Amino acid sequence: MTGLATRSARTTPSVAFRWSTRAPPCRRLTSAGSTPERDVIYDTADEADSYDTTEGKVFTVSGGDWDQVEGDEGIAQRIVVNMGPQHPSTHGVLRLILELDGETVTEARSGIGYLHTGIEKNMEFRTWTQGVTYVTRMDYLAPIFNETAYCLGVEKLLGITDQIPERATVIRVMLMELNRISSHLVYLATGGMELGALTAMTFGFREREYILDVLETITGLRMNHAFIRPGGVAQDLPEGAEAKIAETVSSCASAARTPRTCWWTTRSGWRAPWASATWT
Amino acid sequence: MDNSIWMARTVGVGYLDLTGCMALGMTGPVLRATGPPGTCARRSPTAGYETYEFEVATQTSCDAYGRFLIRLEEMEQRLNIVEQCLDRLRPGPVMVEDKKIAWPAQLAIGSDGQGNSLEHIRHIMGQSMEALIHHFKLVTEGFRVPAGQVYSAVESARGELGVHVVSDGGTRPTGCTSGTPRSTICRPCRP
Repeated sequence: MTGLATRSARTTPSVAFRWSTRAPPCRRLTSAGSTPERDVIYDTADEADSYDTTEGKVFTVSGGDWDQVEGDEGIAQRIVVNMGPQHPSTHGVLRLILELDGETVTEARSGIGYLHTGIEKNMEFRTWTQGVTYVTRMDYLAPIFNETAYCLGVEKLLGITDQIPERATVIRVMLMELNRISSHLVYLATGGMELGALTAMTFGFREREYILDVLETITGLRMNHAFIRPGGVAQDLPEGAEAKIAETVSSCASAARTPRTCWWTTRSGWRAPWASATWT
Repeated sequence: MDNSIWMARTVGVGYLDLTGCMALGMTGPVLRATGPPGTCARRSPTAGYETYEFEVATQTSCDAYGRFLIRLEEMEQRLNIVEQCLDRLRPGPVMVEDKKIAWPAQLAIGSDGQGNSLEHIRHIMGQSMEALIHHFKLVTEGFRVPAGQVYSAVESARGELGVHVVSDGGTRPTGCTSGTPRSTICRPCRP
């Protein structure tokens, strides 16, 4: 954790916008108990800084800083933590400014844009086929979806949507669904990790690796596949791929019926790694 | 599932109801944790999803725990789609027939590990000058896409992933903008 700061005696008991409570976030600034002074501060913070350039207005969405956090007298101690972007669990793409009341996050602000690498602009200088190589890098946990959405758009423009071979469409759907499962596994794995249940993390990433093995067999890479192309897919399935997919699916499905061995497809199974972790 | 540590940190946390979701444009598991089975795979079928049999996981708790349950359930459901796909795989082409669009070089694993199909190389290098020209033009310049703009979307792991593609009729996109569910999910957080 970096940027740890303790603010004393200047907090409000009722924060206007809470992520971690039951107050609907879209109704910020209207909660009872927030003082006018606080509202003014939040109004200012809500508008991103901007400056004019020859290319137009450029906004700075930084997430602010902890010294902007002001409040009323009330809670004796409030901790404001800057989390990310260089934090193991935000891995360089997201910055969060968290206000903590004990262990409870009472407010979270986000600073986004760290993943911006000019992907869309770069695509304007490449061919339509090369564009797939760029969109697949927009999300390395679920790249197949990016490729498919882009290719569907290009095909619609080309007017060849009806001409896509059935086999290519089936392969696309199959890859998307495998990718969806591997993406959800990272959600479960990191969700456990961030609560200290490292067994959930190792199990989640292990199961995900089985699916990435299948993707590697088909596309040649674990991620950044650039496999789905305008007009179909880059290549046919290699020899033995169907058997490997069937094997992986059946092992996942059979494990689902065995809570002790498969923690992630069964609800009661979620407890197993959790309970075995020496963590209270 | 009923682990008290997990429950304490997810139940009632990150509450966002249907009204909030609609105001913020949320899709995917966050939206489905509020009740409606909204997936754009159903709403605007793409990639042939309408022909597969699958349920859409929903919850009504509007919180992080509901989203967790949705993902658990969804993984099981989507395994079924993969099985349906395996049943449907029939031999056939995987690229459109139009040679003006289809990528020409089929890769083939050679003795050196990888490379272009030797048959294809033989064809363009030794048999047909026109094939060589066509290959060269398609690979270096690319194909032309009629002018216009379209929006296409798929239901990704985290919600609706839309792409807005604009063409001026050339071999390169005039613009390509992605509307990703990742950025939408950041909206409830104050910037």
